[in-house]
Amino acid sequence: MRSGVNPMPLGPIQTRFRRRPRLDFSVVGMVYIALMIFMGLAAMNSQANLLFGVFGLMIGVMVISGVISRAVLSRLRIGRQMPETAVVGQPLKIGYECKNLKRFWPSFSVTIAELDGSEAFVRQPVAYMLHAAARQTAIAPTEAMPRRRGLHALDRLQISTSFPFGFIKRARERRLHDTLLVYPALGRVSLRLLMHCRSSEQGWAQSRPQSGGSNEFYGVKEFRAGESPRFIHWKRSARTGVLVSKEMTRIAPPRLALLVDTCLGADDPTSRAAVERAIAMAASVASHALDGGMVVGLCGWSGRWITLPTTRGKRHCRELMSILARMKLNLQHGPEQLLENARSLLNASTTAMLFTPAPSAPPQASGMRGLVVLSAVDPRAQAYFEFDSDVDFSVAMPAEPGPLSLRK
Amino acid sequence: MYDIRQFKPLLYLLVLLGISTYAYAAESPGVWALAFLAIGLNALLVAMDRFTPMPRWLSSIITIGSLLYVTTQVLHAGNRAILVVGQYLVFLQIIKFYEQRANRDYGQLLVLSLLMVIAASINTASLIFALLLTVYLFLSLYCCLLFHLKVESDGAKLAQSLPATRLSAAGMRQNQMKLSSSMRRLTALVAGASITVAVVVFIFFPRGAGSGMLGQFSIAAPMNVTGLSDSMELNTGQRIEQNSAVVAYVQLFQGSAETEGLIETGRPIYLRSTSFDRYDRRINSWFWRESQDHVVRSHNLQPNLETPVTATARRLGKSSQPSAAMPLLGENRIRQVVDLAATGSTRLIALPGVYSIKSQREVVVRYFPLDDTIQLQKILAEPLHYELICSGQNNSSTDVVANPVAGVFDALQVASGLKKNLASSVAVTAAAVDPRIHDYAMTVVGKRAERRHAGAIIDPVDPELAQAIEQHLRSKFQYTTDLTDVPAIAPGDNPIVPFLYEFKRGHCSFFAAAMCLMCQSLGMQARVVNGYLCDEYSSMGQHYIVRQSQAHAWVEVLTNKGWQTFDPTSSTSTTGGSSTGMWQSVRHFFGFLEYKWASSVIAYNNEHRENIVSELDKRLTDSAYKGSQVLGNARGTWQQLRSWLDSAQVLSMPAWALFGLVALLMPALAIALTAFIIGRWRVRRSARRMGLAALPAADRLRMARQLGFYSQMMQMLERHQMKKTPAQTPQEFSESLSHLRPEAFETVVRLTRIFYRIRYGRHEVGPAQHRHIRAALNRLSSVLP
Repeated sequence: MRSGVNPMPLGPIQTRFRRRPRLDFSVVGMVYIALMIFMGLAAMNSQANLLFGVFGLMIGVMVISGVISRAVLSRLRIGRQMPETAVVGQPLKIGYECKNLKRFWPSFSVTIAELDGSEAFVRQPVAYMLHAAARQTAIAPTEAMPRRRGLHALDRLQISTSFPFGFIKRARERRLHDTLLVYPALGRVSLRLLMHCRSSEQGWAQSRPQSGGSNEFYGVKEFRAGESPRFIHWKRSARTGVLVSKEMTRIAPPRLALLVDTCLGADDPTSRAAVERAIAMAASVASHALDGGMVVGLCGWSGRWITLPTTRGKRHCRELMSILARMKLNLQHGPEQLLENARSLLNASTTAMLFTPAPSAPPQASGMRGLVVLSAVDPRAQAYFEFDSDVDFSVAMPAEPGPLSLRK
Repeated sequence: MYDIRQFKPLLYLLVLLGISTYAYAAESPGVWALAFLAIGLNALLVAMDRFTPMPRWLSSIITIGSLLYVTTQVLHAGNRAILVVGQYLVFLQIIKFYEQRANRDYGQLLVLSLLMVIAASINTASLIFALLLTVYLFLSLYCCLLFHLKVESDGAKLAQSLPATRLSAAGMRQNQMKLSSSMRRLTALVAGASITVAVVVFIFFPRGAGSGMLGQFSIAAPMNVTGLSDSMELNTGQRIEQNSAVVAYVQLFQGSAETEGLIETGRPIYLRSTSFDRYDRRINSWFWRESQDHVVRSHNLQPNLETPVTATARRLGKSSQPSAAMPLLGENRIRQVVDLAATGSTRLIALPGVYSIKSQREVVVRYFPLDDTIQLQKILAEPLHYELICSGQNNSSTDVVANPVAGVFDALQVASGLKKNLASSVAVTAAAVDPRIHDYAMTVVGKRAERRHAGAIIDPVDPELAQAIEQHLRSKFQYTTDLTDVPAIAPGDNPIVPFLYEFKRGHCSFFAAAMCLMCQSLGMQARVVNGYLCDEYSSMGQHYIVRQSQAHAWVEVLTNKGWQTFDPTSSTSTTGGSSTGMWQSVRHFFGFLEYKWASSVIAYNNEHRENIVSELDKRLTDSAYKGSQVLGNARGTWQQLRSWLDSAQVLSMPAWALFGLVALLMPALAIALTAFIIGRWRVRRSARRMGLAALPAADRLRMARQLGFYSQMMQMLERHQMKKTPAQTPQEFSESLSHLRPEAFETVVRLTRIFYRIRYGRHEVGPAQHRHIRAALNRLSSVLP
């Protein structure tokens, strides 16, 4: 059932893309044909053999132009080389592997353009392949700038050429399925923001010491080549006859619980941009924190309430970013429900950070000790983040028509 | 991004070749030298990286200014307008070279060069030009393909958002690998296919239809040739420049229509175009003393239809085709096949004694019976192929023997009312000639002149007198084309008088005019004939090559044997002029090619086309007929086989034979089936061994076939107690074999790499690589311990 709000309009912010017809004549081709007809008339009028010869040559060139343009695109296998993920506002390099399967004839001047999934990018990804010799492979690189987060399917691409003379333009479609997950925009995070976070030791919860730091003595282990000799436990080594090294504890990093509010205050571009900014801020903090070895958890609504426990690691980072990339906007599930659902994440050793498009925190937030509230529309909160100027938050939401968030 | 480095040098080469082609066609070495100098300097500046493009505004001003100048030149250039346009195009190309900065300029250069070559091709039909044009077209095709690539790649470069620094240089290089060879291959394809289509269109496109539908338009600049002019002037103080341009190709056949054969002697021939019998010293010009309009007949020649032109021929051919009548000429019948270039004149060349004429296209000709010459109604602006039947002697000659004047009239079938006029026109009074010339003639012939009957039109002694004069001029006078040191003759003075008395040298016109006047001063009938003395015979092409330099003037004197030819020019010889030697052979070879080019390509017309079509039709019909015969035979054999099968003979085959046949077929079938199943099983087994079991069936089989070599290698290694453990990856396994001999170890590592490329890199092995792999496996088996 619809919520009464129109599906996300794609029209005004849709990426322009060009789809060539299978066979087309260029302006040059038209002029050439006109000249050819004129030459034929002149030859018939004057009966001059020279003109008949030239007329025949022009017909020959036209015919062979059609044949070659067809041959250039035939038996050309296209493969796409690109990473599985990208980030809004950060250029993505795509390579098209063009394998010419023809035994003898080369392929020249082929333009490769994505037909599906181009809404994910600022411009339709288009690459140009100069030449692929017979039975050779050529790589046509291009760069695309993602502008929408979410999962995008690149299903079809079009190869086209106007070789050899530019008279005839031919195009063929190829099915080539790939998916691209575009993460939200990642900005630089100010260190001042993390100063608001508290160490997990500051809480009352028991925390087990962890090895890997340089704080206090933790234990000993067998010395491995490459480790600093400074940590060799000489006494124990002398006693056992085996080199052993000391392990030290490390300070427990802050635990962060990112609470992402995706509730639109109103169904207008400003609200959407605010939500997108909130998601991008959360993603930036998550990326920055996880890179710095912190443990991060997540709670938000994306069709259902999603709670990701606080932990760290690359896999966790991918999972967290993937959820943020696919996170949907909604009209019903406000920050109050979010705080309610995030209770399982919150404890004394965890710093909760609420990212909200609303200008102020909900009343319940005042009762939560140590909650850091970052409003996407608050300039003070925005000051903690530095996003690329290319990022346009008003169009950064996923492009799937009728997002789940707009359903009750 | 990509850089089409081959394009620029080729563009320079193409433009220079185009200019050379144009300069050849326009005979403008100055333009060629100037253009080469300017473009060479530009190339040098570009190569040294010191080139600064000319500002657009400056080049635009120069272009517009030169356009205005050229427009005024074109308006006054007449037939040479196209050459003026060509020169302008050369100039524009030079400007463009100094303005070059973008693809637009290169495109304009290509177009200008092509236009210039088209202008040149309108101006000439020479074979050498055609060869140059062919080379030019090939090069321009290559250049156009490269240019298109350059434009496209530059456009892609602009559209490409990826910065050049982030592009993989190695990848770019790899994409440009073999670019030149691919381009050459493609150029050959495009050229071959285009030329094939062009030849087909050229040969089979219907000729004649639509001719003149847009009005007649000719921009060709015909030659302005000597030897075909309607007047002859005698000027001193000048030098005649020799020109070796080809005017015509002439083939001669002798004999009756049934037995005619090619005349291959290479003997010099006199090809007549015009004649003059009166000199007017007031205008210093020779002309025909009386209008022939009242005896001239116009003939509208239909294409390839033989038309009699003389009265005798018409009379003989009244009841039948002219060619049938021609055998009356017997072995004296000569057929001339002439390919005449666009001469810009109305005159046609022919041997004397013309009976009939046949032209390849419709033209109107006028035959002048009094001097046996032929003229076109319109100026010849395009090459003309025509044939003439003639006797080799003046038409009037045989009749004149008995009654000279009456014979001429009878032969001409002129109305009796005109006889008086003609009689008066033939008679030339000696009084009309300068007395000093008469005096000189008398000193030459001496007392022999007294034997001549005064007032006789023809006298038996005339040949003797004419021969004496001819010998005198030949022996006592010098031939030269340079009369710059001889003072110009004052208006009204007869130049022959100083020629005879003072400077005693000159070119053929002086000699012919002097002899003609000397004969006329003695009361003889004589005339100067203009035309060509052709002594260049190509044994390869079996034709005479008529050049402008062979333009000549000689004298015909009316004797009791008819009009006899006398050539008083001292340098001319009747002993044959065909020199031999390597150079001459080469020249004749080119002459032959040129002739073939002119006759087969330039003069290609509807008749040729119909001949080819009918020949093709005939051959296709023959082939179809033969094919149907073969099919008929095959069908007959099949019918025989069927009838044999249907007959009781098969049924009557003994049971043991049938059993034997089945017994043979069944095991063969079983073997084939088993082999197929075993093959599939082996492929599956090797797929399983290589861990391909998880793949879809089609991929598994394809991959197993592709990776068969790896399975073989593993089996080979297993036989030598080297078995891969399940925990090992293929790479780890190959690296664990370092204890093997280096060549064996390297082979294993290399094959393992190939395995990876196929298995995970989407690489496919071609037949050639399979062969290499098999060879590597053989080597491996031989080096394993």
